[in-house]
Amino acid sequence: MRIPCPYCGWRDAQEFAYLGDATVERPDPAAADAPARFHDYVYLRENPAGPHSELWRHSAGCRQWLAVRRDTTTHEIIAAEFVRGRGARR
Amino acid sequence: MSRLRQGGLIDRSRPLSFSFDGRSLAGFAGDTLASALIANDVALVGRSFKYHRPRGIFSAGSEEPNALVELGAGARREPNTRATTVELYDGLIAASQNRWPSLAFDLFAINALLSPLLGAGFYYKTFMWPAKAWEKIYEPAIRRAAGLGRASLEPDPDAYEKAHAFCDVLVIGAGPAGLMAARASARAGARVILADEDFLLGGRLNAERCEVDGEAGSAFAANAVAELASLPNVRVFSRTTVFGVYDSGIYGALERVGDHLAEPLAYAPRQRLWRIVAKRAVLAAGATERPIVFGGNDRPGVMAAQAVQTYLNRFAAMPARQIALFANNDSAWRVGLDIARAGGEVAAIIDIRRAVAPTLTEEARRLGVRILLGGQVVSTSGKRLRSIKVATEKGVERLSVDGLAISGGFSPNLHLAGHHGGRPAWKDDIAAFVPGRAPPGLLVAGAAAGRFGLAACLADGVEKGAMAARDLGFHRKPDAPPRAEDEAAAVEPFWRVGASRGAAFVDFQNDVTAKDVQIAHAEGFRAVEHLKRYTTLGMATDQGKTSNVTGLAIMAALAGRSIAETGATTFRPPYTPVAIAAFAGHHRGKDFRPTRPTPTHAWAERQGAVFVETGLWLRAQYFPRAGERDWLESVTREVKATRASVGLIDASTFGKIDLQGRDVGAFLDRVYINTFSTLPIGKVRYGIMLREDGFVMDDGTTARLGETHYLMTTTTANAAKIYQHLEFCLQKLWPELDVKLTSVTEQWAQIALAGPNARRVLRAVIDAGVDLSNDALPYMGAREATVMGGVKARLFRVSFSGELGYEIAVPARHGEALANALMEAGRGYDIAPYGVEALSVMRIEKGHVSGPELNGQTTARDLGFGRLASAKKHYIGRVMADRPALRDPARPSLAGFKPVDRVSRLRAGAHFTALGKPAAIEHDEGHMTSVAFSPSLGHWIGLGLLARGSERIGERMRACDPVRGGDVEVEICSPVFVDPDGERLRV
Amino acid sequence: MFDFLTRFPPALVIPPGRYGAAGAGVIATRIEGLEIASLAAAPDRIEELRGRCRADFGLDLPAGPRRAAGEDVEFIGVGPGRWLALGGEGLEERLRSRLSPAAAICDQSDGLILFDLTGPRLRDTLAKGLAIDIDPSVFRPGDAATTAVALIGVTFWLLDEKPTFRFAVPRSYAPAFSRFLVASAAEFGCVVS
Repeated sequence: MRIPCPYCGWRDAQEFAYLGDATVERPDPAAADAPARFHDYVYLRENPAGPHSELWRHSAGCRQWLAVRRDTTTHEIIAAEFVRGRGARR
Repeated sequence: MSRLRQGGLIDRSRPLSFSFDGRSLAGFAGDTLASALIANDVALVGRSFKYHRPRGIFSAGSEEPNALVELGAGARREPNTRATTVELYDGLIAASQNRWPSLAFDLFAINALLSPLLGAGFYYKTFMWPAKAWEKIYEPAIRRAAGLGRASLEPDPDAYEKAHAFCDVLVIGAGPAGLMAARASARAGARVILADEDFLLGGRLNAERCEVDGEAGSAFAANAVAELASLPNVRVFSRTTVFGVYDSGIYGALERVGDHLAEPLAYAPRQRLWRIVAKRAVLAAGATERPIVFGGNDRPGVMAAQAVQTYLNRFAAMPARQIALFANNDSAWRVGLDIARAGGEVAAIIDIRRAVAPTLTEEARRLGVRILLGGQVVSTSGKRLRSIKVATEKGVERLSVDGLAISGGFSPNLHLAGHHGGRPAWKDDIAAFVPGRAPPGLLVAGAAAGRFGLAACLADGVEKGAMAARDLGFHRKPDAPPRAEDEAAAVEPFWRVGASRGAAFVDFQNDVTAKDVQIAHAEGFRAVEHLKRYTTLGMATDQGKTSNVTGLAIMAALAGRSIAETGATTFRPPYTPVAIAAFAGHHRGKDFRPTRPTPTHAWAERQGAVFVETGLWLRAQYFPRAGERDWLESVTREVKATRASVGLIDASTFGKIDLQGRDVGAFLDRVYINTFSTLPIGKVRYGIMLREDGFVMDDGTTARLGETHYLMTTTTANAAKIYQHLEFCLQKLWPELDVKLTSVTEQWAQIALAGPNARRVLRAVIDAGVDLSNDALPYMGAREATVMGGVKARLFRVSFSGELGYEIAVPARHGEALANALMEAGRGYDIAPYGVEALSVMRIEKGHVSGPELNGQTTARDLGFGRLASAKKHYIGRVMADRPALRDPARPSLAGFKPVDRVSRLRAGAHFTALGKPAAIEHDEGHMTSVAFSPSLGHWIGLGLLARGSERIGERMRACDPVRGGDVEVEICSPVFVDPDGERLRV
Repeated sequence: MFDFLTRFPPALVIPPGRYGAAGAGVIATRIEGLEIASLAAAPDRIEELRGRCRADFGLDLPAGPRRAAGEDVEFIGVGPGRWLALGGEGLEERLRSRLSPAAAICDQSDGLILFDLTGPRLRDTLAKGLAIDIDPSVFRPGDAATTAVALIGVTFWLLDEKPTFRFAVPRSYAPAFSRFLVASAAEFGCVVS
């Protein structure tokens, strides 16, 4: 598999570290229901068949964390962007 | 001799000698082992996998199911090599396999008589019970009797490589379609790679008597290859099999660089594994001829018709004296005509069809060939084929032949098109599967796409090559395809002679018969994937290239379904076997993975260090001295010397992360459980990091070097992981924070100096003007300095050993000089270099946690750091660490252990049970994580995780180690064995 | 594995000499005397840093994996807001005095080892480890890349069309890098100088 790093260009997936679902957002630890929300954040993951947003880090390249849109049924890489500047701010 | 006097694409000026089963034989350059064996009239080549039936050569290519040999000798002996793909070289040694004592007389041929018992599912049904008998009796017996060749037991002496290539268009297969595709793409300006598994490019152009653009097919192929090779935008790979299609246009290919030589050229690899990244690909892999299933269809002398044609035309080798042909299609007729024209004796052309194109029948009659239309071969006889029986309307007739060329039609080689989940589609008019949805970017051309005629192949190649290039923006009007004729190619689906006698093989390599398919059907294993697994059809090293379609056609007929409804099994890489060594490439032995030396490696070597791998790092384990009997004696001496006076160790391997920016303090507060924003400049603090799930991830010290400048250390093992985690926090969670991370692990050599005399030794290497007094640089202080006359350095007063300690960091190139200077300065104090063993002993004596305790299942509370956790801030892992189960006081927590008798040895991994309780899982209360012989106390000590451990000091337990037979009564104590108040640290 | 490699301990950089087949398909030279520093800038300070570089060094900081070279300093893009700087003595101080605090500057002169690689078979050799396309039509002088070669993280850039590639290899990985290089270049003849 190859991933189009926005900085380095197309690179082999072996250069990347995989973390998983990019759609989950870290909850507010000060919220009243923080324990329940953190439980979901840490353990619960959707497993969609089809396009999915995933976190990959270009470990062997520019070291940036990317949100990679990948079709889980075909491994087609649809898009990749830096997570910096798009994620939640907490 | 079966070698024809003239013709063929062999080089008769270069005779080669080789041996088969010890017999010296001769061939020519340009031969394969199979063609040379045929030229030497060797028909019996091996014994079959299960029934030990005599087998010969069936095909002329990589689909070969029968002619598997052991190639080479000694360390280079390689089993299960297809004789049909082995390029002959001088001195080649080959041997038949799976026979004992000899190929001609094989005792295990008894299995053939037992074949009624050994059918599909036999092992599943017979050897299910008792389980122990399977392991001890059945499996060893079966392994001896059934099998393949013997691998060499010596290390592989050859080198292997991996390499990467990039192109616009990859063309797989250099037959008529592939050559035209490559030429069309290349002429349009695309970067092209053309790969073919053969050593001679041209495919069927070299095997059939045909004309292209007015010249012989083989000459046309040679010219086309020469043109391609001359173009700067084309790379031509012969002897290279593209074996797999992977995601994103990645193709795996194996180049056999040195397999056609007795041994690889000096400094060249034997094989090279290519990862080819291609924007487009054209699959032009041709088609494979299928056998027809009838009794005795596996006998040596029975051969695919196209293979006969290949041996005849390309290798000038006649496979038999009297040859009959048995077919359901026109192609085999041309083989028969070729044989007759070459002066061979064609006993008959037997065709299951009653009507065949008059052009073929007339030509056959003109050449005097007997024609049996509507005929079927029902049986064969002879160890090597002697005769066949043919049934026609007129009855059964026996024909004396020593060769039978069979053709059940053609299966396009669409395997690679199916590697990406693509399912093939059945086409009735050619009685074959053709590619369905192909992997993205892959086009299929020629016979691989079910276009069997020569003119069609050439035209399709031009079209697909131009199309691939055009997709990428290389526009050029393609040239008209070369002139050639489309041969007659009519075929009538026919799989199996119903009225035949004797074992009728579908899968030759795995000895799967038509009857096995019937059994599978009768017992309900009717889905193709079930058929495959129940009968092992198509599961041999040939992956059923010649057998899959026939097998599922027979199943379809039994089940009363169409072949299209029955479907095909899944194609997976590799197309042909690939040696694991090729996947490893350079990364073998010492190069399995990189070895990282510390900056003081050469110094440690001169000190006589014994080294140990810790992750990728090579670190000094201990420094034996003359007269020391074992490692324990050396380690004990190193610990004593350090605790009594002074010692030093290279600590450069700890991860070092430089943090700069306005918000570093706030950031560290969020990633550590304790507070760092309040750390004064010039101070160091120990910190614990949790994972988001609340368990400890890592520990280490972080120093504040300036208002907005910190330096973090991580454990050696977690350096990369922590850096990644911190980047995640900054880029994903808190991008608003101004923190810049830089790994400086490689930049700094860091030496830990420890012991009561550490300050005196350090003073000798530090430049004048640096105050080392306890007030100026107290415990957990940090400062910059210069050493050895102007070398910039950082001093950290930290200690893992529990003694007065400093870590001195200098730019890595000065690491060795610093070690030497410290040794020189410490000579009067009997300074001792120590290794990671002594380091570990001292940290256990001090109760410091390390890898065995930071095992991913322990919380900060478990390890005694509950009070370190700040309640005034949010940090990673805090919420989840607060879960009730993680706060349960009954959780195993850190404690110290000593043997009650003060003599017994402790073992890490031992489990704790109450005294008097049996060593059983239900009584398990925790385990010993780390042990050491404590030189300071004179007995073994241990750290462990024990239920409520910290509350049970003074109690006694059993420490059971059933694996190594240990059962020691231990006393629970504080995990800090030496200097519990830390007085030595602060002097 | 090639026999000649087993002579060398895996923790040592392969010493100068000629290895493998006759000839000089690949020539590797260790470059010394250059200082190296890393620059890292917060996203909102990159423009400021660019301006200072332009004013003080007369160089445009590359926005991608490229090299910008001036008389006494050069910058190699290694990531968004991250560069390697190479120059003569006193580099770190020069950078710090002109670019701080717009960028975090760390000395890496001892953390990275520089090798210049050249020779007629260099691209064939590098293809055995690099998973990126370095064909002259694609990878031009001034282009840079941070990637892995034979499991080793490296940054490299193309200096000229000879071609000369300059590799920056983490210090502790230099032995493994040299072993990969010499093993891969052996069939073409390898000169280590």
